[in-house]
Amino acid sequence: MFLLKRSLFALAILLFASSCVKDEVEVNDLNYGVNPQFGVPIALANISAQQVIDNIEGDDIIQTAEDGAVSLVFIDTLEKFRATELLNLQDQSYGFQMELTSTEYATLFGEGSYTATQEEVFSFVTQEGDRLDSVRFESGIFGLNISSQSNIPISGTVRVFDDSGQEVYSTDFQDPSAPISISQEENFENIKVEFINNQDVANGLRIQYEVTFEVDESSAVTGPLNIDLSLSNYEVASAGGLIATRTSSLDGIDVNVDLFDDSFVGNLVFADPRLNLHFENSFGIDLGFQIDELYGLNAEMDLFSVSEDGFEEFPIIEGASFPGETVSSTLSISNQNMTPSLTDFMAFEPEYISGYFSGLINPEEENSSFITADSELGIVMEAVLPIYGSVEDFYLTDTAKVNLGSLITDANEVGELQKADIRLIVDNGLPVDAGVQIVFTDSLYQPLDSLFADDTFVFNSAPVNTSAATDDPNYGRASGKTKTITDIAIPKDRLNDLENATNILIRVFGATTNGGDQNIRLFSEDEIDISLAAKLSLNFDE
Amino acid sequence: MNNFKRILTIGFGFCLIAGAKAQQSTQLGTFDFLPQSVYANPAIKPKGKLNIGIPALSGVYVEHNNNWFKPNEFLVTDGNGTATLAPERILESIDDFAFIGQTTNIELLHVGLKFGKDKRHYAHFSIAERTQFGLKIPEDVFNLAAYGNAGQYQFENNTADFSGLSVNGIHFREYALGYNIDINEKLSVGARAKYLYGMENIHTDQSTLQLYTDPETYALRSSGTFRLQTSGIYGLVEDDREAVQSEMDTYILGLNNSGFGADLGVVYKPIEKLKLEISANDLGFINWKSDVATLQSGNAEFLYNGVNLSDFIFEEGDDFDDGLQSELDSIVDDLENAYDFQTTHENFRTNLQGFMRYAASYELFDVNKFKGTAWANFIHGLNENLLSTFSLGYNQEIGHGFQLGVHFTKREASTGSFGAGMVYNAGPVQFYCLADNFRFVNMTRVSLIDDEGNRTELIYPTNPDDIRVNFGINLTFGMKEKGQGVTML
Repeated sequence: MFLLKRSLFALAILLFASSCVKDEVEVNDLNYGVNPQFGVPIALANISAQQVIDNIEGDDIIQTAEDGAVSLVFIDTLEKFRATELLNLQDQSYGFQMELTSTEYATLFGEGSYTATQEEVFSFVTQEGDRLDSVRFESGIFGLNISSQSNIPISGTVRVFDDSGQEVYSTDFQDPSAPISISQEENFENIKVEFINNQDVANGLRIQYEVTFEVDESSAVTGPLNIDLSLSNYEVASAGGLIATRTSSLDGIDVNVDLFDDSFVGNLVFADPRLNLHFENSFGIDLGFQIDELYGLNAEMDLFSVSEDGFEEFPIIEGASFPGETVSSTLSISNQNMTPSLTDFMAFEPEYISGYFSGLINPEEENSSFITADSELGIVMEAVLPIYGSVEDFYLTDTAKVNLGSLITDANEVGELQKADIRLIVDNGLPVDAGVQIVFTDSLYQPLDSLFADDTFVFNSAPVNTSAATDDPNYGRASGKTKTITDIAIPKDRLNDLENATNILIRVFGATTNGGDQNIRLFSEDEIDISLAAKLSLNFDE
Repeated sequence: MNNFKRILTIGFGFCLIAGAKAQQSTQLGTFDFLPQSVYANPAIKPKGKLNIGIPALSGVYVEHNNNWFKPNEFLVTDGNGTATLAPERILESIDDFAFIGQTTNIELLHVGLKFGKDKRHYAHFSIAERTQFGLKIPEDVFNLAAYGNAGQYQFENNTADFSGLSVNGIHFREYALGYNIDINEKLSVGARAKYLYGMENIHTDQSTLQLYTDPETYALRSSGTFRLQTSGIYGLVEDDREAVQSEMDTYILGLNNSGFGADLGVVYKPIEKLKLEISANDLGFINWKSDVATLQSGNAEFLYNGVNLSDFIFEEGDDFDDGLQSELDSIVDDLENAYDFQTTHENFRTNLQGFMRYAASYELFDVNKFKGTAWANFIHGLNENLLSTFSLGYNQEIGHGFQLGVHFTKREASTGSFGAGMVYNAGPVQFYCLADNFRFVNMTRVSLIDDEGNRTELIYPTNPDDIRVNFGINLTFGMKEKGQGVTML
């Protein structure tokens, strides 16, 4: 028993006192045996169509309506059509011959003087055949020329009377000695004349000649007096009456549509374009408007022409009711009143739009028209292209310089980094499919690598409303968002290959919904959410 | 943030020498020769009439737990000296949490005495220095390190859950006065009243951090809170504060960290050979008032989904740069506000890791000084930090000087193991050693050799899961009953 206890005790001591190293692990190199992948967000942005509009150069061509619908608007302002172009009045000249009768001569020589008064109605002549009720001359020159072979001294007065019997002008003259020759001019200002209009005369003025003959010792030769009264260099302040119907050429238009310049490629269709003509008419005359020709030149210098026959008759442009008033009106050219349609015209992708216009003055021969010196017709042409339509197979290209040297160096310094997968997440509320391709090239533009092996859409179109009627403003409108996730694998080897990249060729391509088969509408509140993230694959094995 | 890191670093180092989960050898209480049996159930009456522990040697308990790092298994070598960590094996072994911890208890003094008629009464007094430390790491920390947040591992609800990440440690001195009495032949009751003197404490009060990763955008969202309470540590890490350890007198006896505890137990013998035990141990608390500090995060709600370029994406040149810088600054500000660790200095209370012990033993035979007893016990904690343990064993008593035992123990979240214990009385000198398993015997030497051939070695148990050893030396008197003669070896 004693021995047993001692033995057991000794065994126990040995057992508990010994720490037995049975296993050896020698490590020269330690690998951590882990290849974690860490995802981290990089950046995000929410971009609305309105934001893009606010930041595009030349954003004044992009306009947003009250309901948010976006349109491209190109404006051209025509030169104003002025009163002087409308009322073309030339200088007037009225000739009269006065000869005394024998009885009047007998009186003259018997009493030593004789006064003869004669008058005649002359027409104020206009080129267009206007029958004016009145004209207010702002200024002008009355000229009087009197000549005669007679040597009897004369003196007298020429008077001009209007239809109301008002003396509107008079001038005295005299020539006391032979030869009888009078030539005088007199400026006048602010004379209003009411013309005589009846079945015999239009724009008539009654001119009275009162001549006093006075014989002297030498007076012996008699003869008729040739009297010429002229009205020249006059400025018309206003005129009223029947402005005769006539056609006047208006200033043409010349609009540059940047949308169709060389950098844009694609089949663009505007479903509801409009040409709005805004008139500001201060003439007291209704006007008719006529497009003689509308044509477009595309980037290839091809011509698309629409003649006068392609446009329906336009309504009358109303004139002012009283001097000082300006009447605004608008004519709109759309697919409904133009053949071929305006959509077809814009599908031609005209880089330049030009046109010739004519104005039909007083087309309905209103008698009570008026013109003032300030009367003018202003015309602003507005080409409105609502973003309602479709684009098929568009692409835009651009180049940029790039230097990836420092990025590659930094990536190589992180030895554990094996691969970086870039993730692009797009929540698209725009009715557009779009893709991008980036080609990295060297300084000689030799391709080194491209972002994608094939053309890849990075976001797909938002769903659009096709249940509404096609003329409903909500037809074709984006009704939700479509999410697209694109992963781009960038192993470290691939990044190293880009060390010599100095340029990138960027190509953006796409179409509107359904590959451009569906008309869509763009609204300013349509937006796109873009998120960029990276998944880094690390290798901690030495 | 720096203080927090320093505390964690010190705590981790502390981990290597201090304690993990307050427990004891499962065999304690099955050897009635051992005066330390009262620690299993205060109603147990040791065999000796007078028991005196050799100061600082009477009871040394060392427990080490590490369920995730086994050098032999988790380092795969190719024979050429290249070793690779095997994270999959680590993850397979840790279940929901990886933990590493250590408990070291050193009994400074132990005296016990039977008295009274029929020696029905037993009183004892003990002083013990107790340290425990544990670091618990949620599985998702390893998953995140091994696979990343976007790798092949699918986190539940795409969320790496770090809830439960905790560091806990305590160093206190226990002054205990115990007493038990045989009520009758069948029933004994006992109790231990303790005064607890706290010295250092680190306690994770809240830990609910989570990291969510959006599977599509990889947006990151953190949430939760982390709150750490300490005592006796802040002065070690903060330069402008004096550590309590610098004044040894104050540190040993003068700190204001006081608490009280108790053990309660009952032993019942329904029949002569069957003994049933139930006890509640380590019930108690400590109020921490010296050098206290609480580090608390904000509500760690932080969402990062990328740099938002919306406001300045169309700017160019300096305007874009300014906008970008402003956005980056805003992100940094949000991050700092979310993880703004505030330090306050409020007293706090911690509870001891109490546990319940249920035991039963049956005397199989008692012939000619050979007594064989089969026993079983079940121990479970009173909070989730303590893992349950079940043990089944057999003890053989040889005369009055030797008790041997073998047993099988299965602890929750650990593999089962066989262990043994021995109590040997050489006259009044008693040696004992209780090992719940023999894992401390098998060691692995890991040698790290650098390029110059310099060697750094680490010797570590091959299987460090739940190593528990309890040993010591006592003086016991009166082991024999009257008439049985003196026990000699």
